[in-house]
Formats: sequence, C-alpha cells, structure tokens
Amino acid sequence: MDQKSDLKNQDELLLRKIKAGDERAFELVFKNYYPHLVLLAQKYLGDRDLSESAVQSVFVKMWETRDKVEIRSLKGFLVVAVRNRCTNELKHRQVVREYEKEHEQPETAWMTFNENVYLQRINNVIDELPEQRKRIFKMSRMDGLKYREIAEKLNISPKTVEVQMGKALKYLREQLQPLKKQLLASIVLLIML
Amino acid sequence: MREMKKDNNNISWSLLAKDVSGEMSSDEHLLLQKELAKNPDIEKQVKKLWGDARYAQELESIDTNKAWAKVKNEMSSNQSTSRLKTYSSIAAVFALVLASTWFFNIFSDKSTAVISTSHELQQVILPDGSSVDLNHGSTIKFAKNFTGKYRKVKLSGEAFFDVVRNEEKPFVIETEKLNIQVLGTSFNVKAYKGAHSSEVTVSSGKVSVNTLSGAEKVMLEAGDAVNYSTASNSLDIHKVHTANYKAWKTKEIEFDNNSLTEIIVILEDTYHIKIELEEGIVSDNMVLDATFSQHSLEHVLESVCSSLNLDYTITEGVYRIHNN
Repeated sequence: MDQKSDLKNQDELLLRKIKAGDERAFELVFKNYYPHLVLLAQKYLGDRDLSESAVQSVFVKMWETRDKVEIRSLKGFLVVAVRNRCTNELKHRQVVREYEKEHEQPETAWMTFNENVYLQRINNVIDELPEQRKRIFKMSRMDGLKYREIAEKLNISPKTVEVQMGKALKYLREQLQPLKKQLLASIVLLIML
Repeated sequence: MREMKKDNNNISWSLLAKDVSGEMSSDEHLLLQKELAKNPDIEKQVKKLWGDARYAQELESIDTNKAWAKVKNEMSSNQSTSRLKTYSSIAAVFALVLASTWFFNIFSDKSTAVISTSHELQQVILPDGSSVDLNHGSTIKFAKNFTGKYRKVKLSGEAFFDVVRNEEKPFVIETEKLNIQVLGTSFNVKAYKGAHSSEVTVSSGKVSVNTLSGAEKVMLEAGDAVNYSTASNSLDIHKVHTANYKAWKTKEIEFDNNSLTEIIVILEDTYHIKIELEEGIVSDNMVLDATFSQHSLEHVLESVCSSLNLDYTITEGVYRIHNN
C-alpha cells in the first residue's frame, strides 16, 4: 500500500518538474520507461528499429506538449501513447486486431524504478554464471534452442545440457529470491533530482 | 543418506529447467509433480523467474543512452524553431544562424569531404548525424550536405556504420565491388581495395547489398553476413555467431571453440599486429572458449598462451608464439 502511494508521489513530482521544463526529470522518466516501451512497441510492430523510433517520437511529442497535456499517471499515459502510435503505424492492418484479441491487455508489469533494479540484477546474475553454463542458458532461454540442438552446437552430451540448465536455474533462484523479497518489502527510494 | 539427498536436489533442478524450457516428457512430468508436492511454491517462482530472465535480457539489448541522445537532440532543435517568445530563444536562434553561416563558409568551399586513416581509428560524423568508425587504412568520401535523393558515401577499407533512420532518404554506400543500401541500422563493411573478398555484417536492422554489376542482390538482417568473392563475382550469405567482426572497434572478443589458427587471425585483425607461430605447433588441434572485454593485447595473448601451455615473445613489433 505504502509502496503504491510513494510511487504516485514520485510520478507527480516528476510530472510537475517536467511541466516546468526540467530536462533532468524528463531524462529520468525517459531512461526508466524507454526500454520497456520499446519491448511493448515491438509486440505490435515486430521490428526493433521501427519500435525504437516510434517510442522516441512519443517522448519528443510528450516534451513538446508538456504544458498543454494533463497527465495523471505516467505509466498509463506512456503505455497508451505508445500503443496509439503503433496502431497508427499499422493503420488498417489486421495484425493489430489479432494481437489485441490474443492479449486483452498488453503486459507492462515492469516499469518502476525498483523493478528495474531487480531486472538489472537478473542480468548481473546471468553474467556471473560460468562461461559455458551461461552460454547454454542463453541459447535455451534467448535463442529458444532445444537441448539437443545446444548439445550439437557445443559438442557436448544432451545430459550435460540438462545438468547445466538445472544448475543455472538453481543459481538464479538462489541469488534472486532473497533480493526480490527485500525489494518488495522495502519502500521505494525517492530518486535524487 | 547424504548421497540420496544430493541426488534428489539434482533431479529436481534439472527437471524444473526441463519443465520451463519445454523439454519434458510425460514420465518426467509425473516425477516432477511428485517432487513439487513437497514444495508447492517453487514451481510458480521458477516459472516467474524464467519469464523475468528473458525480459531482463531483452531490456539489456536496448541502448537507452543512445536513444536519449537522439531524443534530446530533437527536443532542442524543435524548441529553437517553434518558440520565439523569449529573448533567450531569440538569442539562441541568432547564435544558431551565426554558427550555421560560419559552418557554411567553412564547408562550402568544397562540397565533398574525404577522410582517410593510416595507422589509427577515427570516428566520422556525417551531415545527417550518422556515425562511421574507420578502421586502419580506410577512406570515406561524402558530400558535405546530403542533398539529393540518397545519402551517398564511398568507402574503401573497413568501417562500422551506425546510420540514422530516414526512410525518405536511403543511405547508400559504394565500395569498389559492392553497393549497400539501408534506411537506418548498424553494420560493418570490410571492402579493402584490391582484396580477394569483401564482407558486410549486420548488427541491427536490415541491409540490402548488391554487386556493382547488379547481377546479384541480397537482403541481410541482424546476425547475417555476406561475403563477396572477387574471383567468382558472387555473394554468399552466412550467419555470424560472435561479434568478432567489429572487435577492431569494440575490443570485445569471443573465442567460441576456435582453433589457435583462427584465434591468431582474430587477434591480428583486432589489434592490428602480426603474429607468427613457431613451426611444429599443431595449431588446429588447440581450441579455446573464452571472452575478453576491452583487454590489452598482452593480457589476451597471455591468457591464450597459458591456457594452451604456450608462451610468446615480441621482437621488432612481431609477436611470436612458441612452445613453453
């Protein structure tokens, strides 16, 4: 409960500063939301470059119209703006409707500063894995390769892949579970402006 | 007893991993369900973690700082043309006009720029904001203001391009043998004059490459490379699995089961040096997996040699790898 109202205060503070023309506050908002919004746009547009420029134009417009537009929720505003921008991009394409049918609400669970800390930590933990284990994990999780394919590529047995994947997953959970609890329990830190 | 427990732990984690990566057979599924009965929370946590891990890795692949630089640029340029209300913005526009006439004077005496490197790397920013990193012994030629239908540059040598997107004005690179066209992406071009082959490797976006004769044309996406052979005058597409093709710029090297022969080529290209190998070393049998991030040549050579039980010396700028 506390966390939620703190977040709201933080957003309000940022929005006030942006309205007053504070570029630094705008930069913070940009850096916090940008990658999430690109991934959201990519679900619609497919192409990474297109998605990046769509999100960038949303931010440029947000800055230009900052004294005219009344924003209540930062996240809500940005998600809707990016979605609209993407639908415009695709115009009458069937794709959008089909996508919306499948995903009632686009997933945007990750967007607060605290959650970014957690996501960053995941990447660090993945980086900490021993070289081969890391490669196997990424090939499975990111490239979507089957165990058999990974084994062939690395010239190891499928059993080794299995064991390495188990170890990778175990390590990730061990490293991340405590942090997650801690982050969820802690109050959001107000960022320094 | 202890053995038992250890085994159980192992089974459980690799089973869980199989579960989330969709590798599980129905027998194993039953086994897992049995194990999970003892610890009902863990399946949910692991599934969540599996999703989060992918999302986190995808986030990492987005260059937010670079995007911010672009947005910031647009913010300030829009501001100076649309708001003439205050004195400060009038002054800013005035300064801008002054600056641009000054630039115009400097650059208008010649309409094309030619930039060459010999034994150094150089970054060139083009009139549209695109950046070009030139490798040793390379030359780039371009019009100082990209008027016309295309943004056209000529390259001889090797360069890494990061092209600002502009769909109205495609970006075209001409080399001795190839014609490369893009809208906005990043990619590496290796096209030294008189070489047996040229190569284009794509980091992001889409790139179209055709031979100057126009006989062949291919479309590349991120992770693709095309090799042009002068002898056969043909294009040959393949996938790249490491980022070594741009290590000359990034100094990020990845040996992925590479033989010593291959490693030597990668190091020579990355650090612009010559490496000799003592006769009698069977280099094809020695393979290595390793990554190096912005390390000095000495550090990398040292690591390579010590893991292969070799040693190296330097004489008159030539590196020589020999038996220990």
